[in-house]
Amino acid sequence: MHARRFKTKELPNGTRLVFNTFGPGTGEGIITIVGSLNGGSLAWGSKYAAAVHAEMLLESTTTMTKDEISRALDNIGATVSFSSGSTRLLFTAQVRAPHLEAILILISTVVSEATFTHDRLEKIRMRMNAELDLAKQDTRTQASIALSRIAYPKGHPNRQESIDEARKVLSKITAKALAKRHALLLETPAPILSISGDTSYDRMLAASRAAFSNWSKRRPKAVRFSKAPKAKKKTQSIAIAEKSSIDYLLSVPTRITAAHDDYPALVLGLQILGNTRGFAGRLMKTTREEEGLTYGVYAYAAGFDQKTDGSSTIWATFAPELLAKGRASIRRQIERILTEPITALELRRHQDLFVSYRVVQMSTSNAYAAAGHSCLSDDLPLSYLDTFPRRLKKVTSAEVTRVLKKYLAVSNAIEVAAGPVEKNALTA
Amino acid sequence: MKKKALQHVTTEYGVSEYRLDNGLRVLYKNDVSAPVVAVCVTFHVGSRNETKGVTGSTHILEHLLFKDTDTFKKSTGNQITDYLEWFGAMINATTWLDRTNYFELLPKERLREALELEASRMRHSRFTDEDLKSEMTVVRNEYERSRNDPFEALDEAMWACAFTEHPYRIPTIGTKEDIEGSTEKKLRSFYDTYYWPDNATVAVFGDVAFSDVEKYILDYFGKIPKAPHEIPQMRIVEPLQSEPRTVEITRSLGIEAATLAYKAPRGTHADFVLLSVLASILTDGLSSRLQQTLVDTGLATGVSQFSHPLFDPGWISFTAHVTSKPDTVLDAMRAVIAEIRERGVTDDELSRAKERMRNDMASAKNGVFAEIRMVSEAVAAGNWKLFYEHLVALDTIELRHLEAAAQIYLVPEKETAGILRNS
Repeated sequence: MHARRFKTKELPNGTRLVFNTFGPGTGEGIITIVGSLNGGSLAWGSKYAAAVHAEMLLESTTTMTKDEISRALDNIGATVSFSSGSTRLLFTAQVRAPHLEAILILISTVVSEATFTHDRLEKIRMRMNAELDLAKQDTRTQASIALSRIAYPKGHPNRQESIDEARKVLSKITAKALAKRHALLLETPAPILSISGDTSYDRMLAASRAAFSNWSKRRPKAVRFSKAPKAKKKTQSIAIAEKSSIDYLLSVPTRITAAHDDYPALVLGLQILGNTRGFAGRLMKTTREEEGLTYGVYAYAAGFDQKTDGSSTIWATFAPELLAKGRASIRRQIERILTEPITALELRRHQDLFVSYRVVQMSTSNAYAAAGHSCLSDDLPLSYLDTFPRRLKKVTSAEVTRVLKKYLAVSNAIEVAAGPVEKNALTA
Repeated sequence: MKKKALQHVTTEYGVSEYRLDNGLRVLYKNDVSAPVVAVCVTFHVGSRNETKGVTGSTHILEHLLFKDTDTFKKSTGNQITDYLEWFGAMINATTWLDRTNYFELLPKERLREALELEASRMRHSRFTDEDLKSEMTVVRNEYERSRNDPFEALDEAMWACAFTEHPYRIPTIGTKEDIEGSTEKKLRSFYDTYYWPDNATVAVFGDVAFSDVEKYILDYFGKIPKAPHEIPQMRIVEPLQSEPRTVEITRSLGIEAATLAYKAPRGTHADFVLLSVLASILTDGLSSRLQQTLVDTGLATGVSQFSHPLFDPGWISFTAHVTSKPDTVLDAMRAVIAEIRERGVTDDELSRAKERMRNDMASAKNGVFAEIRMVSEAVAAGNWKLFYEHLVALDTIELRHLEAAAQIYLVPEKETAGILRNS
C-alpha cells in the first residue's frame, strides 16, 4: 500500500535513490530530502567526533566560505542539517520545489569539497561545549546517557559518551584529523537519497543525477560491534540541583535486532503496555489516568534497527514524592502483562491501531522521505513498509506473552532516575 | 420544510468559510494528498481570559475535557482519551494565551466519529470533582516539568516584566496557588461561560467531501444552541511602555542566556508582518545578522526568535544561548538592532528573508495536520486568513516599509531585556 507510492533507481555509480511525489501538485510546494553517506559514530569511534564532522560540513569548501554557503542556502530559503547515525552521515533538507536542483548541488558540494580549518573548528568546539553544559543539566538526557552506559558495551551504537568523555573528544580533535578521516570516508561513499515532495519523478531523477553522478562507486565494508551483554539488574540515581521533576527510565537489553522473528511481537507487546502516542496503552490508563501519578509514561522498543540490538524501555516523569508510587505502579502493570493472558479483543485493537496509525503517520513529505531512506539504509525492500504491519497483524496473544517474558523481565531491568532524586531512591 | 445548510461566507486560499445558525464558524479545505482528515476546534478562550484567583483554569479545563461526556464514557468503553486513538488518530489539545484548541488527525473514514466527539465535548462534558482530584497530580507534574526548564523560567519572568496589567503577564499554566485552589465549581463556571458554538471555530481539512462535513456538522453541532449570554470580552489594555526594562533570573545550572523583546502590535495589524520579516533578517538562516554577529563569532551557541501573531499587542523577541557574559551579548544584540533601525536592511537581506518565509509557509502546509494547526493560531489571533495573507503581503514589502517599522518598534523605550545568569 505504502510501497507502491515510491519509485527507486540506482545510478551507475551505486547511488541509491528513492522518490515519492507528494503535495498540492502546483510545483511550488515543499520538498523533503533525507539522505546519507558512509560515516557515523562507529567509523569515527565516537559519537561526538562524528557530530563535529557533521557540524563542520556547512563551514567551508574549497570554493566557498562559510558566508557564501550560508547565503547560497538562504537565497533559496532552504534548511539543511547534517547529523550522525551509527554507520551513516545523515542529512535532511527542506526546500520549495523550484529550488530542488540548487539544493542537491549544494549538498553534494559541501560534502565532496569540504575543508576543515582550525579557525572554524574552534567555533564549533566552543558551541558544542556549551551544548554539553545544557545536556549536563537536562534530566532526560542525563538519565538516557547513564542507562546506555550500563546497558551497552563500548563500541555499541546505542552506547552514549559521558559528558566528560565527550569534552575530552572535543578538546583533542584536530582539523587535520577531520580532513583525513573525511577523505577516507569519501573513498567509499555509498550515497542514499530519498526525496519526497511536490514535483515529478523525472525531475527528481535528473536533479539527483546532476548532483551525485560523480561520486565514487566504491562501497564501505560492513562495521561489526558486540551485542549488549545479558541483562543484569542495576540502578542509578543522578541528583541534579534546582530541578522539580524526575525523569525515570526502566530498560531491559534484549540482544535481538529488528530483523529477529520476535521483534514484531515485542513491538506490539510494548505498545499494549505503554503505547507512546496517547492513552491507548495500559500505563497511561492506570499510572496516569486512574492513579494520577504522572504526566506521561510510555513503553517502547528503543535503539533497534536491522543490525542493532535494542532494549525494551519504559520512560516516565514523576514529582519526587511520587517516584516510589509511580515505580510500583509501573511494576504492577509489567507483572500483569507477563502473567495474565492478553485478550483477543485487546490484541486485535492494538494491531488495528498500529496499522491505522501508519496511514495517519504517512501524511507528510517528511514521513515519506524518512521511510524511503530508512528502508534503503537498512537494506530492506520498500515492501517492508507493508509487510511489517502484515506480520504484526498475525502475532498471537501467546506470542506476545512469551516474547515479553523473555525481553521484559523486571528482575533483570536497569533503572535510572535523574533530577531531584535521593541517592538510594531506586534501591528499594 | 427546507433542509438546513451551512451558510457559505467566503472561499479564499482554497479554504471555504461557513456559518451555522448557532454562530459556529466552520472552515473546510479539500486536500487529497493523503487518505486522512484533520479536525481542529479552536475556542476563543485562553489564559488572557483568566483573572487573579483562576489562573491556569483554561489549561486545567483542557485536561478535564478528556473526561466523560454524556455520550463518551468510561463505563461504556468509548472514553474520549482513547476512542479516536483506536482508529489510529493522533489526538491532543493545547492551551495558550488566546485560545484552547482540540485536534485530531485520523483516517478519512473516521470523520463522523471525530466530529461527534468534538461536539459532545463542546457542551456535554460531565467532569466531576473526582476527575479534578486525579488530574491535579498530572497538572502538577506538568507544572514541575516546566520549572525544570531554565529557559522557560526566563521567558515567564520576561512576560511578567514586560506586561504590567495585561493577562499575558501570567503564564498559561497558571500560578501554583491558583492551580492548587482550583475547584470543580470554578471550572464548571469557566466551561459554561466560554464553551459555546458562537465562541468557537471548527476546521476540517483533508480527503473528505464537503457534503459529508456539512452533514456531520449539522447532525452534531447543529443541535447545540448558541450561548444564552454574551461571551465576556477581556478589555484590559496594557499601558504604553515608555522606558526599557530588565529582568534577571539566576540558576546554578552552568548555562546562561540573554533575551531582548520589543512590544509589537496585535497579529492582525498590518505592521506585524513587517516585524516578522525583520525578525527573520535578524535571526533566521545561517546568514542572518544575529547568527553572524553572535554565533559565528562564538559569543553565543545559537539564536532564536519569537514573532507569533497574538490577539492583543504582544512582542517579538530574540534569544541567545550565550558563551560569554550575557550583558556583553545583550549589548551586541542592541548594536545590531540599532544598526537596522538607523541604516535599514539591504535588498539582498530582504529577498533572502522573503524566500525563507515562503519556504517556512510551504513547510507549514506540508500535510493537513500542520496546516490546520497554523490556521487555528490565525483564528486565535482574530483572522483565520492571516497566514495566507502574510504570504501574499511578502510580495509587496519594500525596504522603506521595514525601515519605518524598525524605527517605530525596535526602539529602546519598547525594550525588555532578560538575563539567565549562572550562580
